[in-house]
Amino acid sequence: MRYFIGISVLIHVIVIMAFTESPFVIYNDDPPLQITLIAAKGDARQDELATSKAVDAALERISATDIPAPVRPAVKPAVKSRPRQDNNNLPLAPEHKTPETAVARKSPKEAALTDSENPAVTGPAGAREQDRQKGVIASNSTGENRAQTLRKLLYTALEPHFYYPRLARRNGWQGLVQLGMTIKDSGQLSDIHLLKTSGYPLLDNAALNSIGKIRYLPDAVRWIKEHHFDMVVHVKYQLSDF
Amino acid sequence: MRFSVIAGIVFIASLTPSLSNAVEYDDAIIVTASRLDKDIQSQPATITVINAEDIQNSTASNLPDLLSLEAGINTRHFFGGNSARPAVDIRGFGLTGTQNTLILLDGRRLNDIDLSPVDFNAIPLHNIARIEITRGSGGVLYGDGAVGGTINIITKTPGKTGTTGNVAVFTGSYENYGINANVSHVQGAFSFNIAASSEVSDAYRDNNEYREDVLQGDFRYTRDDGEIYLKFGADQQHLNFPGVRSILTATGINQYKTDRRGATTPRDYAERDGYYTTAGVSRYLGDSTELIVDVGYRNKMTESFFDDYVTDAFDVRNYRDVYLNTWSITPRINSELNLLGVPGTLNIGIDYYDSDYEQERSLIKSTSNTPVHRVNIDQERISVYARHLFRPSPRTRINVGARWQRIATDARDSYDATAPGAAFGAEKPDNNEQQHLQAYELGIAHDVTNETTVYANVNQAFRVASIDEIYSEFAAAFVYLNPQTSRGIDIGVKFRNQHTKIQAAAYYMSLKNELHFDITQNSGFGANVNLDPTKRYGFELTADHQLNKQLGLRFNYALTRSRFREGILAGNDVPAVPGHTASLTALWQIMPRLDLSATANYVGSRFLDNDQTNDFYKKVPAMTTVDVKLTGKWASWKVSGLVNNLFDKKYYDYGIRSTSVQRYNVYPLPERNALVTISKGF
Repeated sequence: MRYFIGISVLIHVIVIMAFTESPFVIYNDDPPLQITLIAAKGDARQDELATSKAVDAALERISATDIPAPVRPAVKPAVKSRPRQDNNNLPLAPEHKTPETAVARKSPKEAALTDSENPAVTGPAGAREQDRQKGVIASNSTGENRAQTLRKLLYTALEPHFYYPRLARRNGWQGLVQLGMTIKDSGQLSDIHLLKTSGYPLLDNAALNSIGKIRYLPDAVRWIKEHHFDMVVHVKYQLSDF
Repeated sequence: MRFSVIAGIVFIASLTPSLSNAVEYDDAIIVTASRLDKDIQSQPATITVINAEDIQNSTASNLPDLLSLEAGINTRHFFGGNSARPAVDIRGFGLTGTQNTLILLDGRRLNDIDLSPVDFNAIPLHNIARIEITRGSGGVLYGDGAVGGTINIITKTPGKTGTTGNVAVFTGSYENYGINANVSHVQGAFSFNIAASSEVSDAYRDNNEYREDVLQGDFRYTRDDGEIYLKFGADQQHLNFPGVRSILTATGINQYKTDRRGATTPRDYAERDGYYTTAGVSRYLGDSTELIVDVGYRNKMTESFFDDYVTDAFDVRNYRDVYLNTWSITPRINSELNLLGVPGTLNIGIDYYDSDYEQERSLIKSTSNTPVHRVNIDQERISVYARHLFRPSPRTRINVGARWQRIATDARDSYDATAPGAAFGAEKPDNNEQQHLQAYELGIAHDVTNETTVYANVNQAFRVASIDEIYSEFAAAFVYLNPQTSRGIDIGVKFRNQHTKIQAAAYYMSLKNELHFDITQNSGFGANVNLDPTKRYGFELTADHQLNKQLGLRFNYALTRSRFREGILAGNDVPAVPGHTASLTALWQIMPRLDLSATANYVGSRFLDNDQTNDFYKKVPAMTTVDVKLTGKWASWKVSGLVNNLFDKKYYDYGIRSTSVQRYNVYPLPERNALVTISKGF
């Protein structure tokens, strides 16, 4: 009898625990997979940022000075709740080289509206759009198309250089790496840096090394003439069963 | 450190560009590679992988119990109900299962050169990343003793940046208490993982007290082009031996019924202290070749005492100190290679093991400074092996491999006729021996569809006599028996899709000179002998099916036939091998944070040990046991309650008959018992 009472108590404790919502539960859902292109001032790049929190803080500093109504950047994990289709509309947000040109940072949806559906915006974004209309960027392209085109250029160039680190595969390591980089108006890739670790240094280094293999993106020149772009690239390493 | 069969193959497979590619998906770059398990499953061999999640979900609370649920694996408990020293046997080798099943820890041999069973409790379950079970010969990659199968236990390596860990405490029936913990830390390229555990138990039987403390560590410097590592481990174990329960038909004595928890040998015990360390470097030479060089050292000190319970006429008390040191160097190369335009992967390597064994036999501990016998046996093993896996088409893999091994043994004995307890003894003359052995394998696997693979392999494996089979207290000299050789064939099919995994295999093994201890020899004192030719054949089935997100099922079945082929015993079954084994496991996620797992394990009847004639009136009866575990999770906390032998069956899995009288002895196993574990991750 004592035995069964003990088991009964145990089962009840376990069941009660299972029903009770923990105040400490953190749901670590992966953020949606995305590549986000963000235009930023040349002197405001986040060279040493290793976490998205640091990126946020730095970008907040920029917004305080450069943007009347700053919007959180897409690197913030909170964007995970956005529907995936929103991410597909991420714009190219080129930056004018003049110091007074503002940083174009906005939520993807808002940015998409700005670039492709509502060109008559005022302020920095409007100035940017004016530049665009002047032919800085291909004249008949929508923001979405431009984003897709440049992204495809980048992916096509990068694809042969990505690999799954052998030791990571052997150990079953998977994760999402967020990298920051700049495409200069000359097509040169620079300032490739880690924004958010996957948790595994080996995967982080593999992503950095892969992107580091590309020094120049010649076809990008005609798309980003007289601009440079700070980009966030998401690289997901995942092992498949099939 | 030696790689496992699988690790080696998969590692090379990972070098294949086609297995790793970047694809565009939505707006992210996704870099994919096939999971290790998939490549393991694609080999032309019967292989099962148990990963850390499987272990966590299992109802098994120790390694032997976990293994015994797998198809074709049988365990026998000689030393009580705890998991300290059971014998694990793949494909029906009976009493010599331990010597025919090679156990590897991170690819390095755990089987000692004596007859002592592997101490599975020195490998904490919570520190295991995965277990790779290869049934059938592993002779090419591992050499001696990989006859029935190979079990490679891979410990966890530190991975994620930062500090993570887990602490668990548990308590259970029979005054069982314990704690285990592990911590991992990664800082850039440097990382370490340390695991420790401590357990005490009174155990089910009298005089079966058990204590064990274990520490394991793994320090690494990892880069994409290789790593440097240092592994170490230490364990200390105390175990009391309860002995047998006797059943004598003629006199009506049946200790199994009247006092099944009692002890026959209330003063017998063993103490064991062991430690090991392995240092190595792995380096990628270009994109397609990896060079691995590592050096290992393992030390084991065992103290044991077997009291005299038999007669007052002769004092046969026996106290032993055993010291065993083993050095090993195992350089190897894994390389992607195109031979005549056919892509493939090549494993080549050298294994060098040097063991020094010393045994001192005394009357009792207090006279151990003046041992009666001091036996020294040095054994040097050197092997060269190569294996090439061709891929003549994307769907076909052909495997060819061979190993050559030389074993040199040098044995010495010194006898002190004046030492306490010396009587009727004599010094054995020095003796040495060299043996040359070969193993080979040839296999083919073909993907009939994307989900189905058929495979076949033929192989040759070998086993040489262990030190305890060379040295016998009752023999006048060291005896070198002929090496045991086996030739086998495996044919199987594997099916795998998103919800279902099925593997079915049939095998046949023909053995010559099987090494065995025959109690009828040497005037009833017994002797190690080469048996008449034997054979093994059987069928193994493993099926996993995920019915839905909440419920998964796993079924294992094995038909095992282990028989004498020739001689006066031709047609008889080899004792202690069950003809049928099966297990069914269900894992039910009752709620997101509440899991229930239940396992029913069936082991068929088998002849008692020593019943080669198959004519004893009693067999070890068939038995089905059921274990149930309920696990609740709450944030980083986890609580589980486990009930073993839910229906309170009274059973044993090992017994031995007398050839002179109608008597047999058994080792009773625990009735219904429980274990509660609370753990906290950080």
